[in-house]
Amino acid sequence: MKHGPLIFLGLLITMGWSWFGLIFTPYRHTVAMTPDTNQITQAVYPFQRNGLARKGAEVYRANGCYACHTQQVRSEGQGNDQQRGWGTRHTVAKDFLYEDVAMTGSQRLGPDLANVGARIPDANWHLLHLYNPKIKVPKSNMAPYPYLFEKRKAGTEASNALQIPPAFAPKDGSVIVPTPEAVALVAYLLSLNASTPVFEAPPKTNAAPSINTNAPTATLTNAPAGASNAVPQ
Amino acid sequence: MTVYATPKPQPVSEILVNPPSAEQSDLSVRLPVLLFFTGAIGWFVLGNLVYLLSLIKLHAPAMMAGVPALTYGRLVPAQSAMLLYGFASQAAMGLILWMICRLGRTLLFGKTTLLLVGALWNLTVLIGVVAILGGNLTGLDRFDLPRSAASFILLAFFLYGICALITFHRRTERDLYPSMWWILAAIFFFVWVFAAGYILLQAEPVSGALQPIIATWFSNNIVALWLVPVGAAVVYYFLPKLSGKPLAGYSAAVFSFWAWVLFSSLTGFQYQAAVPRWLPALSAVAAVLSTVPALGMGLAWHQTYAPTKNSSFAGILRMVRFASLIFVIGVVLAALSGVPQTSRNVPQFAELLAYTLWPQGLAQGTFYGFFTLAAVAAMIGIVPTLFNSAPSSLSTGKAFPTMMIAGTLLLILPLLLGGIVQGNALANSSLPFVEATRKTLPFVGISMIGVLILIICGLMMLRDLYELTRNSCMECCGDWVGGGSR
Repeated sequence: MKHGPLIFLGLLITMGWSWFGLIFTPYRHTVAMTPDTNQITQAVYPFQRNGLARKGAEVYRANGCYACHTQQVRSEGQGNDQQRGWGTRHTVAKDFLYEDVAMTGSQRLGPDLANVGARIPDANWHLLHLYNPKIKVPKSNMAPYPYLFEKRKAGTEASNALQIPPAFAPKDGSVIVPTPEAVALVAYLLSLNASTPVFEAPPKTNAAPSINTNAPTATLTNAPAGASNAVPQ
Repeated sequence: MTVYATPKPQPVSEILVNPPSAEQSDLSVRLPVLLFFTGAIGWFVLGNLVYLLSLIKLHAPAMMAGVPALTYGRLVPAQSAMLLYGFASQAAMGLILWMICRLGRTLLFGKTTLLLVGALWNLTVLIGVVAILGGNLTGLDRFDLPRSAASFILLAFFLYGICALITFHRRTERDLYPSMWWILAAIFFFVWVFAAGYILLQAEPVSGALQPIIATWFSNNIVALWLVPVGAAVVYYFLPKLSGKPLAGYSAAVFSFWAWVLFSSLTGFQYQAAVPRWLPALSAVAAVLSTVPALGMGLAWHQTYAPTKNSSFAGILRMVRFASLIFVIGVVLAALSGVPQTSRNVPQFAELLAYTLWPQGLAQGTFYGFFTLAAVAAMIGIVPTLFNSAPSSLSTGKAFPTMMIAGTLLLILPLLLGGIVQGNALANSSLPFVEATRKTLPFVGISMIGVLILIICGLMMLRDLYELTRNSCMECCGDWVGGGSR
């Protein structure tokens, strides 16, 4: 091999092959991706987050929460994510359709958060946990985020002051109030809920119907009788 | 005095008639390469300091918790950007220029432009790191530079690439040694991979559904097709040269080159869940196929190796040989651990090790174990030649190479072992999640010692560079500098 241009041409082809396979082909698939509409409830999934939750996503991003927390639940048979209660179905690309930035993460020093809004729907729990994780999880290794909270003088009236257990409350009696960033971050965490069944990750065949009806399960779908794209058990 | 006079730019026709000597080549690249190397070593120390701080924060999460800039989530992308762009990419850029001029027997083209590129590059990394610590994070793993910094990196590399390719074109040695193929590939791939990541994730961001795919493709290929090629070029250059033997297996080198760029560019998706299923499957197959070129290169390097007769370079040879060994082991481990369940008899490594410290250990294995060891070995060999000085004490003594190798192993091995322990703990559904994380802490603690040793190595390199620069300044204009004695 002594000709630079020939090597260059070879490199162009090899790069083109990687590009075509891993970027262009998925692009073709995702560019046509549309939200699913539930035939029965007419609910659309995925949906845009509300303004406060989108602001919270920015706080999540700015503090690098994705360095420790993933937002991707694996399917049953691939690890025990679902047994740990992190989700009822595996995560699919469509879950991130409307995300400004898909913060899937790659390391689990903290638990998966793909469905944290469904798992822990209590805003107060999250605020206390952000202020000092040990209040809620005594052996937690997560960093506290005091800068997301405002410390006000003892005796200050604040309707949104945190009710901190005495062992963790400031010794000088200061009142701890969440900043707008903390409120937004919690709104984002509560909005994390990827449990709606989608075509790529259908409900399990032995799962209870998701809506309250007397009709047999088979009539809940407009697919031919007996047809199912569910994961075989 | 005449030794330090930089050769005047020659017209191409004249270079072809009178190829420059190795000394003339070295002199022509001296300033830009020194700028890149100094920046690289500086960022190596800073980046590892931030890395150390991030590991300390895993043990003491409440430490300095009130300082937003020092929160773990910001330290991780900051150290990653410092090490990838500040250290590794600058070291690679310097090594490429030096090898093109040496192997191509030519003089550097565009020295002033390259000096500007070096200055712009360092300034951009600095701005990027400050922005990251200030909270301007991308949200994407290992695509860490904020948009403004990324655009300047692309611009700077574009200018760099033009100068490097013109120098390459003006070579008088028409035959291309294997190192030159890898260098050509590295320059071309950096532009493509970085531009693709920048355009699709920052300039014109694609839908969130596609972002994890682009980000994974980027983070895999910036290592597999930018750092690995430069590392391979270094091994192909230094191993035969210092062993005093010709490279074994030329045709194996050709095969390995093409097979590596073909297969390794498809890897990296093994541990992803939020992507179409065929991507991890394809990646797992590609990772297994990548072991063929890696083993081919490893075998050729092993056959080429011979203990050096010149003890001044024994340390460099040791580090280069170790780097090549870690590279092969890393590729094989990545292939083995990425294979999803293929039959009931095969353990589910991919499921067990996903999202643990293991993938991080593998990535650090390639970054520190292969690229950094090889690049540092080459740098401590090259820097004294640029000053026309005797080999540095770093390469003649045993301490520095031993510390580099020990630091690297102490950093990587605990991450891999910790990943296995963490994976097993996570697989036990009855064990609370926090226990799995707590089990990793002793391993992270040992890694901290490794990082600390690497910081000391970086400081030793900075000191060596300072001494050489000082002596050179003294020799040239001692009275003016103020020393006068030399």
